[in-house]
Amino acid sequence: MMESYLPTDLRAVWLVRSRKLQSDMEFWLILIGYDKKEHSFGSWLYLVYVIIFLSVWTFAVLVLLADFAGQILRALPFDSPLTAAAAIGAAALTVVFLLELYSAARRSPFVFSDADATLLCLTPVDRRWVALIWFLGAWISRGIFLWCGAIVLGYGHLEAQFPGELTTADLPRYLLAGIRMLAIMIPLHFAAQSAAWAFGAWRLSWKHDRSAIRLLAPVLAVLIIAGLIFIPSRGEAYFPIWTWGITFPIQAGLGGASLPAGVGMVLFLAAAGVLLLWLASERMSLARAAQETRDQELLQSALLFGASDLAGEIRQKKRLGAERKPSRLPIRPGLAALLWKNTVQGWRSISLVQILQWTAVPGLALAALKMPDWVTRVGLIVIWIAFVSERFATPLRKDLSRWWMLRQYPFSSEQLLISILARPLILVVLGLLAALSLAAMTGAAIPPAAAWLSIPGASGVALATALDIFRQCRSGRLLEGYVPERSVLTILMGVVVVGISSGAVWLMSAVFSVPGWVVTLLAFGICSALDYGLYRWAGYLLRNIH
Amino acid sequence: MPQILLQADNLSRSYGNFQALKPVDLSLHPGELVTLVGANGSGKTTLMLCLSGLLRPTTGNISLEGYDLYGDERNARRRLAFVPDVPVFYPDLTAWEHLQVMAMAHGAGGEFEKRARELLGEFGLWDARDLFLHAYSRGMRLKLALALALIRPFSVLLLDEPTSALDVQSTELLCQKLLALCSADTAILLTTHDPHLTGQLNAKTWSIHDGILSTN
Repeated sequence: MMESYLPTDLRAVWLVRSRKLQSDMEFWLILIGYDKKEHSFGSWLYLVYVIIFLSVWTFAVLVLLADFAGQILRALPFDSPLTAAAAIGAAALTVVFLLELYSAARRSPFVFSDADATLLCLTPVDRRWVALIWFLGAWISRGIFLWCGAIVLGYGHLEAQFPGELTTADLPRYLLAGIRMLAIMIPLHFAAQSAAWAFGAWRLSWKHDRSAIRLLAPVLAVLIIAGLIFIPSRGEAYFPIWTWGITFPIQAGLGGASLPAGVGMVLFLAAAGVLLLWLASERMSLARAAQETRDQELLQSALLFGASDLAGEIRQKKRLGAERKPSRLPIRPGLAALLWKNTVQGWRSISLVQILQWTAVPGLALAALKMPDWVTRVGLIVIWIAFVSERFATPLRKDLSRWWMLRQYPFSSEQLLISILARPLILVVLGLLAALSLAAMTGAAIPPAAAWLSIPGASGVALATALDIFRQCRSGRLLEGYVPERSVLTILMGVVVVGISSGAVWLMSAVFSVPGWVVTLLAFGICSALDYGLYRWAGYLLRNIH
Repeated sequence: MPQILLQADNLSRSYGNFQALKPVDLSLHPGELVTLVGANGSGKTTLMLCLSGLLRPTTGNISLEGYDLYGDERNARRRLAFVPDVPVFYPDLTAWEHLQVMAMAHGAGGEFEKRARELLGEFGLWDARDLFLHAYSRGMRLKLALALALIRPFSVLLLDEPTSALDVQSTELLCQKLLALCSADTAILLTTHDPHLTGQLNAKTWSIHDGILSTN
C-alpha cells in the first residue's frame, strides 16, 4: 500500500482535509446532475460528456473575449502588445499577491471548521503538513480566475499580433498560446500565494498579534508604485530589472522570450514559495487559526450552498462587532417603535454592496425611461421590479424569521406590514422620483402622471412581494427560522400593477385625449385601489399563516 | 365565577395526518399558576405555540379576556406574553434595544429606563446590555427573553421550559417573579421537566401524553 509509506502526520491531516474536499466535489457533481452512487457506464459517460462540454464552452468564451482583449492591448500606451500584455499580467498577479498578503495579515489564510478545529487543532500533528495540505486544497479555487485571465491575455496577444487574420484553422495556435500562458501563470500564482500564506503562517506563530503588520501590504504597494516611478528601466529593456522576476516569465509565456527559461524560473519561484511555507508553518498555532476563521468557514459553506440569509448575517455580525451604544435616534411608543427598529436595522445594514444595490433602483428606472424602444423599456421595467422587490423582501424575511417576536407586538397584521415596508418604500419612491427628475432634465418627455404614480406603483410592488412571501409561509417553518424566498409571482403581480397603471395613462392620454390632470387622477385612483386590495389580502395572509 | 383570562375551545393541531394535539378545552383564571408536564414529543410545545398564536391551530378558538387571538389580534396580543425555550433575536440590535422596542411597542414607555435597569440588574445582564445577541450564551438569551416578557404589561404569561438553560440563582429569581405575578392576578402556564420547579411553585399540574391533555 502506497499510503503506508507516507508520514503518519500527513496521512492524519489528509484524512481530515479530504473530507472537506470530497464534500465540495460532491456538491459540484450534484450541481451538474451526476449521481456518484450510480456506477453504470452511462453515468460515467455523462460525466465525461459534461467535462468535455464545459471545457469547450470555457474555451469558446475565452476565445470570444480574446478579440476584445486584443483591441485593448493595441490601444494601451505601451511600445507593443507584448509589453502591454506582460504589464497587465504582472499587475494582476501583484494585486492578487498583495490582497492575499493583506488578508493573511488580518486573518489566518488557513480556514478551519468546528470539526477541523476539534480533530486537528487540539492534536500535536505536524503543523507543516497541515499548512501544506490546506494550501494545496485552497490554491486552485483561488487562482482559477487569474489563470483564465492569463489565457485571455495569451489569446488577446495573438489577436493583437494578427488583427482580423485569424480563422478557425488557427485554433491550434490559440490552444498553444493558452497552454504557454498557463505553464507560466500557474506556477507564478502558486509562488505568490504560498509566499503570502507563509507570511500568514509566520504571523500565527507569534505569541501576540501586532496590528502594525496589517500595513505591510499597503506599504509594499506604495513601494512598488514608487519603484516604478523612480527606478526606470535601463538600456533596451522595457521593464525595470527589479520586476524581471515576474515580467520575464510572463513575456516568455506570451512568446516574447525563451519558454524553457521562463518555465525554469517560475518553477524555481514556486519551489521557493512552498519551502518558505514549510519553514514558516512549523510553529503556527492551529487553535488561533481556528478562532480567527470559524465564521469564515461558515460563510464559505453558506455561500456555496446558497444560504444567502445566513451569509448576510455572518457578514453583518463581523461588521457590527460585539457591542454598540444604543442608537441616538429618538424612539416613540406604539407603532413608531417598530419604525424605529426598522430604521436602526436599515442603518446598520449599510455596506458597499447595499449602497450599490440601492443605487441601481434609480439607475434602472432611469435606463428604462431613456430607452427609445418599448421592448427594451418593458424588459428593463421587469428587471426593475425584480430588483426592487428584493429590497422589500429583505426586511420582510428578517422579521418573519423572528416569528416569536413579530407575533408579540400588539398590532394588527396590516400595521405590522406598514411598519416593515415603510422605510424601503420611502427609499424606492425617492429613487424613482430622482430617476424621473434626471430623465426630465436630460430631455425625456415625462408625463406628470408618472411622478404621482411612483408612489402607488412602488407600493404595489412592495405589497406583491409581501403577498407572495406570506402565501408560502408556514408557521412551523417560520419557528425554525425558515422563511420562503420570493417566487415568479412577485414579478407577475408587480408587472400587473405597474402595467395597469401605465396602460391607463397611455390609453387616456394617447387614445382618448383626456386632459392631463384627469389622467393623473384616474391612474392614481386605479393604482391605489389595486394597492388597497393587495394590502388587505397580504394582511389577511399574514394573520392566517398556518 | 372568576373572570377567564385565557380560554381555548376544541383546540387541536395536526401535522399532515399526525395529530400532535388532540382536541382540548382549557382555561386559565387570574392568579392561576399551572405547570404542564409530559414526555418529549408529547405535545407540550405544540400546545404552547398554539396558545401563544405562533402556530395556527387546526381546529378551535383561543381568546384572551374575551378577545379572539386571530379575530381581534391587537387587543388579544396586548394581554399575552410568551417565552420560547430557544429564543432567536435580531442580529443587529443590542439587548437594550430589544427591550426598548418591545416596551415601546406595548406603550410601556414612561418607566422604561427604570424598569429595564431593574430587570437587567436582577438577571445579571446589566453589564452586557450593549452587546449584540450573538455574544450572549444560551442562558443569557433565555434571561433576556424573560426580561422581554416582563418589561411590558400582560395578563397571561406562557413559558416553554423557562429553566432549561438557567443557573440556580436565576431559577430562584424566576420562581419569585412568577409567584409575585400570580399574586398580582396574572395567569401563568409553563412547561417543564424539572419536578423541583413544580414543587417550588406549588403549582397546579396539567399533564399531556400523546397529544391528549389532562387538566385534572
